[in-house]
Amino acid sequence: MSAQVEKIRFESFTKCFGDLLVLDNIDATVYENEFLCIVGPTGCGKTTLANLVCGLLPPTKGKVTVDGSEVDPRKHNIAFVFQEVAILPWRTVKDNIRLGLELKRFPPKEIEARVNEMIDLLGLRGFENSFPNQISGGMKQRVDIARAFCAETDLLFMDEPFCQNDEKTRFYMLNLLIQLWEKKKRTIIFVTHNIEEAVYLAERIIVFTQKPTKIREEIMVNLSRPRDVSAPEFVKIRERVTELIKWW
Amino acid sequence: MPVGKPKIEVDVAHRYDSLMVLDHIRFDVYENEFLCLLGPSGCGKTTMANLIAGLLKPRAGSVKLDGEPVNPQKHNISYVFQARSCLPWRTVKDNVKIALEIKGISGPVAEEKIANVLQIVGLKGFENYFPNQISGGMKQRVAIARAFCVESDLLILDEPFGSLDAQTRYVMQTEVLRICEKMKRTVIFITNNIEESVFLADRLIVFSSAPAKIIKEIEVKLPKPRNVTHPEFLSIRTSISKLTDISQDVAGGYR
Repeated sequence: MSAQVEKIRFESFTKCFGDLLVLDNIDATVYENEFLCIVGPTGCGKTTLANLVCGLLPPTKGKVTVDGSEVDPRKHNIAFVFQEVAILPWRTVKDNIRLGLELKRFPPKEIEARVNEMIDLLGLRGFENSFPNQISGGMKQRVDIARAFCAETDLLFMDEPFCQNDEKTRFYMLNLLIQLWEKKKRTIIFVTHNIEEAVYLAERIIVFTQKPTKIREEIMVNLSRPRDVSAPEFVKIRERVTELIKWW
Repeated sequence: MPVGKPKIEVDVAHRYDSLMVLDHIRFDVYENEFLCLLGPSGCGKTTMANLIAGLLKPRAGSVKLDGEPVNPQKHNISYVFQARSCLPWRTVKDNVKIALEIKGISGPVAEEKIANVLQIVGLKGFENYFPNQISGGMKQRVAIARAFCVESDLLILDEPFGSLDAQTRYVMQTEVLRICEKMKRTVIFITNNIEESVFLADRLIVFSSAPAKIIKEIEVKLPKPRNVTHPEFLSIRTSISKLTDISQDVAGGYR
């Protein structure tokens, strides 16, 4: 576990759509620089959580705080990576990566330095000036991640970013993500349906129940990296999480 | 290896103009076998499915069913695509019925077949629902029910669960095995998911990235239903993972 500095707090966080109670009094803390995974059964409201955290939807009750003050997209830096790659087709690779920094009005020199670092870290050197339609799907995904990592963020929220990839590609992206997180130190909430993926990535896993969604359990993953999906300790945690959410 | 005469004999090569997709591919499928074709995205798996179904003519070689060139008009080949293929203006029941209508089967015989197959895929009670009233997993079950309700020489499933989440996938995989247990079929199941292929297959064929070549053929002897965290299961999965390259698409530009 990373140093236990509280970064994000969910306090009695509740969301209803009409009569349908989706999130029921979620109380949780995410620590600074922590890699937290959230898993839960299909339809448990994980995407609703993402929409609430970024302020796209208001909670029915409760709040989310960042460093003790209520989350505000204008004040806090929250970056998102979704399942669908979100990059602008009329901007080059480089200009897509720098977008977040431009919006935050970073000085040009600093933008340049940060973007360059990301281009190297994500293996995009040589493609800086290519447009999205000139690069492969996997590279677009890396541009998306580069942009999310480019600025210091209070929170990086990732919602099933790799679920469309084939297995081999998925692990390649997971390893890349771990390397970036270890190097750049970010607070990450990673939402997934894939239990193996959660155990591979997380320092801590929060398991959600079926709707109305509550926290079922928290599981610490104290395994060294890189992790081996067939190691007995790994399998033990995976089976434990599976047992907790199994509805099939 | 399975014994006896093969049901399907595939021996093809295919290119689109100058783009080589399938480099000489040769394999057989045996009656009532569950065969998985496993390969990375973009390796030409769907091209292969189309060739086997007779929807596409190979540039070289042939596909034979019971010793004759495959012919969709003559042979009964059912095909479940990755994209959902329910007609939105037809109910669940009427979507399944299409397959029988085309074969000219109607009346009480058709009704009985439909009732039976809907029961097996777990859609009993949903006969009169329209596609927009049911979940993604259920729509996929409608497509599967349609494919299973006629006697077919071959059932081709092309990444049928590609768009489902990891958990719903487990449900559907278990369903497909259960259905196959009840209604013996010769199945070719196409996927890019290693775990899925080891979970389902009697035998699996591993393809390289494009142009696709056969890297290896593996017989999976573990009893079904299989446990995805069993050490033997994981060791088969790991060994397959080591065989395949990460697709050029992703590795491209990475040094």
